[in-house]
Amino acid sequence: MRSKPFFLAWRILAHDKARTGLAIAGIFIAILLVFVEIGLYVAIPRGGLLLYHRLRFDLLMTSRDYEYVTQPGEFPAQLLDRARAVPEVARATPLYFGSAKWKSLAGGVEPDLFVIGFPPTGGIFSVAGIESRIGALEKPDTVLMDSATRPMFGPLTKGRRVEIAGRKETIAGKYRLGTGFLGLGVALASAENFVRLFPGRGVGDANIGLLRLRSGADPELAAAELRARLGGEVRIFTRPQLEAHEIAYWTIRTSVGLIFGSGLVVSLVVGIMIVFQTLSIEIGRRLGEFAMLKAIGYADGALAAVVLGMSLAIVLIAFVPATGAALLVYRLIRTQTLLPAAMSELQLAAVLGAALAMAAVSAGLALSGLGRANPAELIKRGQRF
Amino acid sequence: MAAPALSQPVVRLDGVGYAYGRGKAANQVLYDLSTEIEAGQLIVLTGPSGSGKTTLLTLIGALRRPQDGRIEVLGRDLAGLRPRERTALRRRIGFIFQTHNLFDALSAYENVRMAMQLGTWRRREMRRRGIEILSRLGLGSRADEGPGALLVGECQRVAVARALVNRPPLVLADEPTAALDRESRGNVVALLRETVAAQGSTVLMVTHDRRIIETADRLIEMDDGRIVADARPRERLYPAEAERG
Amino acid sequence: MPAASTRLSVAPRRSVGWPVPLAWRNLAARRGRFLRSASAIGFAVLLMLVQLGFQRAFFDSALAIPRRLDGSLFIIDAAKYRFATSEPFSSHLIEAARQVPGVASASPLYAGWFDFFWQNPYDHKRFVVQALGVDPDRPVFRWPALAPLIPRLKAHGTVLVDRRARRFLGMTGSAEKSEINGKPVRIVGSFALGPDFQNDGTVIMSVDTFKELYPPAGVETGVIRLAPGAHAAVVRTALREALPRSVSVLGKPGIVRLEKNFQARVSSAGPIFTIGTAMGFAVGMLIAYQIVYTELSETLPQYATLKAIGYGTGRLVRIVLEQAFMTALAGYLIAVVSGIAIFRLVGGLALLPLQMTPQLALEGLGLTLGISLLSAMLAVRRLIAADPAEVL
Repeated sequence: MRSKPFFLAWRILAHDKARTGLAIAGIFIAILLVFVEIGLYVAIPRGGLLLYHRLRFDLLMTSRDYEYVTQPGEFPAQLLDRARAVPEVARATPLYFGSAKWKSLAGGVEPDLFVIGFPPTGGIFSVAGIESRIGALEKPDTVLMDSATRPMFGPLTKGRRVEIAGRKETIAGKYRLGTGFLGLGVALASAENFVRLFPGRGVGDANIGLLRLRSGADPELAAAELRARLGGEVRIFTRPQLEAHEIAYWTIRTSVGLIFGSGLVVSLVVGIMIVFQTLSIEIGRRLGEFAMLKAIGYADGALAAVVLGMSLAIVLIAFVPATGAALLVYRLIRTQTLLPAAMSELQLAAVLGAALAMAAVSAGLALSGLGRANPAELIKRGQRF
Repeated sequence: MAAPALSQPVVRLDGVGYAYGRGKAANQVLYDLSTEIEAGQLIVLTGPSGSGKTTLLTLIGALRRPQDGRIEVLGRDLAGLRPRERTALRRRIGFIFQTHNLFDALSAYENVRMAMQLGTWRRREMRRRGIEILSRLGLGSRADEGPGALLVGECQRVAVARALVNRPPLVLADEPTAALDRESRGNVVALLRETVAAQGSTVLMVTHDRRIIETADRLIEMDDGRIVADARPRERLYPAEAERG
Repeated sequence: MPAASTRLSVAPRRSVGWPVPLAWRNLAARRGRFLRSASAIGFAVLLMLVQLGFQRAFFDSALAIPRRLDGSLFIIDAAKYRFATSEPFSSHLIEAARQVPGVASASPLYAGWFDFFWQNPYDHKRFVVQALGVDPDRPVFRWPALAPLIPRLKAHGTVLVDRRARRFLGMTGSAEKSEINGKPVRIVGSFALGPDFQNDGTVIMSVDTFKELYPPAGVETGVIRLAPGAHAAVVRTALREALPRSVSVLGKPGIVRLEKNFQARVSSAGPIFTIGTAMGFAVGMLIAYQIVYTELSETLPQYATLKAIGYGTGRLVRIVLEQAFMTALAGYLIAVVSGIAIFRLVGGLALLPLQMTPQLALEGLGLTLGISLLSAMLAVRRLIAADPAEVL
């Protein structure tokens, strides 16, 4: 007998399109649910790290009191000079953070704007829209606006004049980075313009310092060297350390991680439950047909392949539209909220892996039942579905 | 007890035809059937498989609509019935199907009671009547057990009880005794006979059972969608006797 | 799933009084499956309850202070887009408000959300906290637990701390001294408020202390109490005329709504949890539909038989809906009980006011019934279309 188990699995599924469709719909929803919840959960630290992901640096220098990106504390910018003295350090750039009231010249609400000041040279941000406009920032009282700034700030058209911290500023253009959790709106200014906006602050006190190392330098070694030289006045983070720190802040320190984590856990349970239940029912329904196959002499191995094939087919067919729908929901989340929800390879692989694993487990459990029973029992059992 | 004579037949078929499917795939199973069935009789419908007996039952039972012809049941023309009238008519017909289709979750009594709820029983009478009819079929002591605890034959008897409990004027039965042992068969047939005799009901039954055929008042034979013979069984089986008698 | 062993012989029942409760019997006959179905729906409902509960907790925590303001009318700067943003106005306007007829008292509330650095008394780390400055002789809160503590703030350099603040602030212990913005303060009591999305903790102090720690540009909110017999609308109009256009006059609902609208529309909290709830609803619909569909798959011949013997379709649909509702309700109960437990656990850990309020429970019930009804109506089309003739 020619046995093509996967082909047979397909035939069995195609035979009752309505039921199979229903099963696929169930798995679709379960996978979508897990995607959405994972996406939300992962988006939190991603939002918190958004700025750092777009800054060029190998090491980050911060004050001792650094909490997270919007509570960085201050440290004297001279320490950056001392950092430059270290041979591995090629470049040390200060960044200044401030919060100011934004006032549209036409009146209305005055939202809080997060302003980032920096020496207007290239190579600090890895955003094309910023690099190409560095020159514009050198003009007095000029800012660049993040395109993700909320609508309540009004249109971000080039040339528009607005009032920031009581000073008239001109918008020189937009760039795409994302406000993350910095605030409802983010603007970039040159260090000079920043000081004009925040007269209480001088360029003497930086909020964070971006250190770039010579090519080939080891970040860990350089960090150790800097810590030795600069002592306890500042903190030095390598990129991995910074990621871990920010992620820990968002997931543990704030309640956000806990909340979204609980939501994620409940969703995972629901998702797993649905997948398992659906596949068990689908396989169970066809116990009669499997009995027939057994009765006409199908080997157990081939039967196993059929059952496994069915499970995998249902899951895979549901997976593709679920991924598509997840991308749409991520887009919805990105546009409606501050969260940079996005699909990553890791998410895709994790959910796919989990779904396939569940398919295999369901098939396995079903098969263990099949193996022991004789065809007559199976037919009777199959009628229960 | 003689049954009161009805002025009109219980069932009237006039040029009835039925086909499954449509257009090119149409499969004609009944051709131009015309006959009348009087009240107070036990009529057997027999013939080879595929001859259309079951289909005819479903048409008379207002479960299907014929493409051709006219059917009158209990004085109503089936064609013009609105859904509510159709439902009301079905309540006056006791239908025994080939599979018992009892609810697993209900006891035998409760399954019968589902039919009684459609009747006009007072609540207190229901239990009494339900047990009574189940006892007639030998299941009185098992009235409160569910189909899971009963054998297929016993379930079938419960289905018979369900069909007859409201004393319907017309009973349609599709092989009601096929799964039964001899004693049960006898019980069912006796009950049907009694229904005819005591209430003047009409029983139209599809069966191959010779012994039932012998006792029938009329035997309609079908083949290939047509009535090929229609007579009193004694005449058919024992034509010589009939001639002499 | 073996056939016979799950169905025991039915115990004698006396259904004499009313019709056979077919829906209930169907569920009771297969208890294992009933529990599984109910749990499945319960999980979906739990998902929704969790999302809605969190959303409510976010709102409640952000609205904690606005809700506790004790006044009939409030003065805020017209450019204020939410409660928790600095938009001060001149304290002269509070004086002006006092002169308006019908105003019994006009009390200032000073506030800072980014300018007060609290030092953890134990490890000396500094963190930004929400700071509120009130006049101890004219308290602005309707807050029974806080009221007896307010007079203590008359002493110079004293503060009250939030003992439900995030633990890293060190406000939960029995320390008596600390520093704010580098200046020493004395801790003279604590209240229970809790953090929100923006603030990790709160300190309350007198206006004098407030001005010393960080000189404000003005008052954040003016809290107006009406004289007995005064009409709110009338006084509001009078205030509106007496005060410049740079400020707005709102009622209590208005000031709460200011922050609430921000949370719902501009911040992320609203949409995120709405998306989560919608997902839960979709999942619930699917699960409930599958349950009814599967149930009908098994019993369709039986129902078709009932149709054939004279049951109207409507009656049968009602039975199926009853069964679906009962399963959904059982699931709802499971969800509520689990929800209460989860809220308690997560609320305690996250220091959020997570609570299964009656309103939340009712919302959950409404959603459950909605799921059940919608999915059942879709699934019963099979029943309606069932052809009794096919039974044969």
